[in-house]
Amino acid sequence: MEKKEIIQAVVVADNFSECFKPFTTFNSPALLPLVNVPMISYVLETLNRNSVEEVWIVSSTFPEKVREFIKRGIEEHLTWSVGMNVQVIACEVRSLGDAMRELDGKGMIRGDFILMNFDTITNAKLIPSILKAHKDNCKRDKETAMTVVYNKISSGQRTGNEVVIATNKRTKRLLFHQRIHPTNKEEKFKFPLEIFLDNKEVSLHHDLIDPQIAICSTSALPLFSDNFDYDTRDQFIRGIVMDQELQAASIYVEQLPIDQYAAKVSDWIAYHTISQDIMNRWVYPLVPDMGVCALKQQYLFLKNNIYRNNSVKVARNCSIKNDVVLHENVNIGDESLLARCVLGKNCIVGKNCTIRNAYIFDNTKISDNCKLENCIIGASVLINEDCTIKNGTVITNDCIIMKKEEHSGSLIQSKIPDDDDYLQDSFEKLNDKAYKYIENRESTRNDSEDDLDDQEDDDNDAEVYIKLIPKVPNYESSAYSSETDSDDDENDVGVAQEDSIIFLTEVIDSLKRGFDEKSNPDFLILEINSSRYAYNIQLNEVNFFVIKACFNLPVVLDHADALEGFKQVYNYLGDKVIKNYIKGDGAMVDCLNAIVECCEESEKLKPKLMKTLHFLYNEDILTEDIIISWYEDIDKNWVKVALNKFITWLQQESESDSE
Amino acid sequence: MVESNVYFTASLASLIHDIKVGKIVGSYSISQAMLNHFLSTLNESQWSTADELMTIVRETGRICENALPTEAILGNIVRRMLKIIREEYDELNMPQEQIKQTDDSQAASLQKLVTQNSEKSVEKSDYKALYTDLRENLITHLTEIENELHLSHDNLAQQASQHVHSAELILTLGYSKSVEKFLKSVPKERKFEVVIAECAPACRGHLLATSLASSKIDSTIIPDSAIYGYMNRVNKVILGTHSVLANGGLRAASGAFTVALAAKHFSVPVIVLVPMFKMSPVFLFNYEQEAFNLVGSTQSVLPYNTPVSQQVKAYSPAFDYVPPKLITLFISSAGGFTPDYVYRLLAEMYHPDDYNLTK
Repeated sequence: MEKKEIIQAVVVADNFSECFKPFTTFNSPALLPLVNVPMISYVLETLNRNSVEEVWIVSSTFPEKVREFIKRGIEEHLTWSVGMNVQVIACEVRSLGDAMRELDGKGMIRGDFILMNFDTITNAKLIPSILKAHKDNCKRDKETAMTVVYNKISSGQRTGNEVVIATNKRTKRLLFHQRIHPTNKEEKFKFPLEIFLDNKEVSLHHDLIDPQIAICSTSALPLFSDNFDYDTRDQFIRGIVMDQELQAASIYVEQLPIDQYAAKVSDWIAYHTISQDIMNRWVYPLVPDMGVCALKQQYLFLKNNIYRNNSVKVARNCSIKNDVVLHENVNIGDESLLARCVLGKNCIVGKNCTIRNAYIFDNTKISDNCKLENCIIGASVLINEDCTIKNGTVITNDCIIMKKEEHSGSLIQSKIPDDDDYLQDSFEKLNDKAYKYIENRESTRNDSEDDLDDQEDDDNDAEVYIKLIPKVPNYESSAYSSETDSDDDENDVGVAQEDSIIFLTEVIDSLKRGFDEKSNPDFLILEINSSRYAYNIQLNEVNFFVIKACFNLPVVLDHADALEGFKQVYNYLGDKVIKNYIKGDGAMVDCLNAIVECCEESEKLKPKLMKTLHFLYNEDILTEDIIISWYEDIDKNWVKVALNKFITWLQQESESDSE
Repeated sequence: MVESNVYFTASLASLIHDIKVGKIVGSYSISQAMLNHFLSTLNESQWSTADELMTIVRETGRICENALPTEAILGNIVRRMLKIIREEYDELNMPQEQIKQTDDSQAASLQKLVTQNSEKSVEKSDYKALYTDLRENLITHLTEIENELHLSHDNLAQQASQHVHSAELILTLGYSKSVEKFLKSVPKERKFEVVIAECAPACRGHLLATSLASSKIDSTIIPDSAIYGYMNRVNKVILGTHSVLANGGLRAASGAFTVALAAKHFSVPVIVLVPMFKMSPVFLFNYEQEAFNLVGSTQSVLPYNTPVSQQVKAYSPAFDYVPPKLITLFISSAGGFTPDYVYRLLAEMYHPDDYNLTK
């Protein structure tokens, strides 16, 4: 019987952005509550429902808190802990790329794995259909590195997660990828012409959202390691798709079926939208009354999407309108009005309060006559009487807001962090337990206004939407766009040749040093790859120059018999370095061309051409088919003469083989 | 929080998990899994007296009910379990001469039933005495129940020939294992026709149709909206159900109420198939009551990508309540009975003290 394959998943518990600051200054973003459950629970539960058996969480900010959460979850028999082994890897990483390199170093991934972020909220069924599609891709194309999963959306949204892509219609191979900028309202996209020339049928999509779900092959991790300039998933995808000559890898695209939900909590606006989606049961079965996480029903589901715990006390004459979640021991006073909001455990709301579009975490107390609209209030906050808090104010844990204060669009935290990022004087002290962050956000706010109006014009309650747009992360302005390419082309020619010469000398240096010091060949590969990116060398050129460099090593040049010298080099570098580059038919041709060029340059080597090829043929670096077909195409007379015998011998050999 | 609960074992957690994420589906498999769980509890857990065992079982029931309030079957199995513990204990506890007496009293059961509570309160046992035979007896009894469960569909199906006749037009809704088996065991020479309401949005009716068609039974699928229009030609309605409530009402797949009302209008008899483990001593007193209904994914009734999706509230409830007055006959493994008789069966199956597990 075939051994059952374990399905593995990697969850990155950081978003490497500042969008949830200041919450993330004191805690891991993965533990930020979303509808009263730490956000990472949704991913874990989704993976569990997809019968994933092993999960690695890579965490760099406050990993001990994440680890503590996981440990407690296992003790409490939370849903995801059953039948799934969850482990936290704590490491200092600054980007997704770092995390992947870290994983590659640990070598724990044994097969295809699911790569997700903690902030992806989805009810996708990845298994079996999408995993199978990935496996089929791998079978057809050995170079498959990743299958990315996109989700259809109604067009016109701009949250920064939308992408424009081009795929080969038949194979679904990704050919072009561009993220839609949330604020630049691009209306035109430029696709490279080659896409249409090289593929019979191309499909273009502009209605897809990237929820950051992917299924990776084992080859994806080394790709991250080899290219340490890949930091984000986008850079990785772009790197592979845009520079297909550079990388022997490909990416495929799958779309989620229309009835499955997937979205990414990328900022507070998305936080609001997705919370509402959860309450409106679009993400079923990840809805509050099904008990996300806990093996226990925590809420009653009542009309108008009101989720109420049994222990909640609601005064008789207060009005709870719609889309409200009330957790354990929430207490709501007389005449209060609640709509579209989430209240955490033990929250107390006083008399005559109005709470709309607000998210309030555990143990917070809101005193009488407060007005809260479009805001996020952390845990254990005390808001005194007659306050008005609106327009995307974010108040973090443990703050105290004094009587009759009014806040609009501000960030308030309970203490000033020791971080360097925050300058002491950028805070205004309100009291011992409240510091307001001063920042000129006017411009971004105006930008976003129209956007939000489009999205939210449905709801009169939401006239003033959560406006807090944290600084939009710097999307690399499409560095690969065809414009820039064509501009540079003219200069490129001259520069390119010079570059290749420098590259060759660098490769020779690396190999020489490596050979002399007998250092680890893996490092040599890394060195060569890094010089390659520095000088922008194509893959086939690399193959060519590496072989050329091997013959130009001092050992070979100084040796009386050039071939003997090369054999010494080969003994040391052959298995790792040469075999790493010279694989595949194209690479062999590059190798042959390089040898011929070396022979032309060095009189000593020239007579040995045949013997060199014979040696490489014996070492399985070159195959007879390639040598023969290459020989037929070559137009240099001396080569033809020199190799005549060898080729005849090879032909006989292959004939006798076939017999 | 209950997390410190010692009764919440890993095996129980994995049972609940499997039911929750849909690895175990269908009332039959769920009850089977629950019985197996109790069988291993009997063998492996630390208990010496019946009282201790009952606490374990009751706590298990409480945890299950908290976790999966819509799966009434779990509670029923727990009640059944408690009942057999009581029976086995009483049998061992009873002085020899009394055994005969109880044999006599079983005959006069209706009167006994009415007076049972007052009698019990006098000689209520505390279940604390030690009996070494108890474990053995319980295991035997539990295996009997398992057999009964095993045969429940077959027992139901055996009665098919009494209820389905030649040239009849039968209407059913969605997919129910009991109904599938029932219809398939009608003698082959009787030609009858089945109309299946598809039961949107899950449309499990299609499953039943393909299954029936493969056994050469004429079947027609109709949309749920056509139920009323079809009803005047129908001879009989046969339904499965999720559970039967204490008053004889049904908690059945949503759409069942439509069917029952239409049947009432055209005076078509409504027959409901209930394996015994689906009878629950629970009343419906309020539509907003905990766990009466289960609201499914909004996606199934309205696609997320439509422009209006943010502006409307859409619900997809899983169950309908069908009041007992709309039901003509229940068929259980033991035979047919009317909704009025449900209280009686419940009293036979469960001990009144166990009706409410959560307390």
